[in-house]
Amino acid sequence: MDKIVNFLIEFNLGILSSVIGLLFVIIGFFVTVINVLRSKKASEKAEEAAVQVMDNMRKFDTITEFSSAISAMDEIKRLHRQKAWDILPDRYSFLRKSLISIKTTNPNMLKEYQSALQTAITNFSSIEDQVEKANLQKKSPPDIAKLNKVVSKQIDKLHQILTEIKNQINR
Amino acid sequence: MIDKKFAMLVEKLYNKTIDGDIEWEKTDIEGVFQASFPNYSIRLSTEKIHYQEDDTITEYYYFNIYNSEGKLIESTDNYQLSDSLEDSYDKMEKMYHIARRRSLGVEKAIDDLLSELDDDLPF
Repeated sequence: MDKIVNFLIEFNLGILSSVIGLLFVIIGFFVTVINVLRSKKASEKAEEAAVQVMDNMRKFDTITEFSSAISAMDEIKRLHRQKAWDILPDRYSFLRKSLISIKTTNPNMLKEYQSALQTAITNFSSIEDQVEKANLQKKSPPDIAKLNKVVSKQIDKLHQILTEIKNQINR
Repeated sequence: MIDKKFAMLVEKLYNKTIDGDIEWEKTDIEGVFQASFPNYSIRLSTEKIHYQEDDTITEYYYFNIYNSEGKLIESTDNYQLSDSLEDSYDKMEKMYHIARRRSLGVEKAIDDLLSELDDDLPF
């Protein structure tokens, strides 16, 4: 045992081992820092991915809402042709509320899309007033071809927006 | 009495219409044209009123604002604006007719036709 101790003292191995130990500590410190930074980056990436998934889910919901609104408009065109004036005011009102809901639940929607929805809302509100008045006053209803032309234009515009939103998800 | 802010709104819309920055569209009502923004729509219309007292016909231009539910919230015309907006009749008339032409595609039709005629010219 004394020989081992003397050997260590003679060749300053004690100091050498301390220096080596210090080097390992320093290397270990930097390895830890690198690992922490890597895991932070990984968690940031995970957070980004989660945000992207939630954004896509919101877009899917919006697509569903737009599709429902377009279907409702197609139904309104059919009811116009069938001259179902008694039930149409309720359909207009329901559709208008759906469109308002789409706008309200998507406050970050492009202004261009919001304006298109606003156009549809105002048009259907106006049509509802016309048909309600005609029903109450027992006057002849508005021109069906003209009404359906307006409705078709809204359908086309909403369809265009729907396609653009779908493309945003596919990117 | 229409306040100055409203007159300013009409003036701004008039200037942007002249510059071609507003997208006017046809509506469900003949002769009524609409421009929409994210939360409001504006409709322009016109009406000729015959005053039997003096047998005159006066043309009015209307400016209506609709809210986010599509309900009318404010309405004015060139006569009500005359105190707050300079040349209110001329401006409203011009804005209405530009809105009509753009909505009906008249300007585009004229541009396309001019283009066709230019192509046919031998020089």
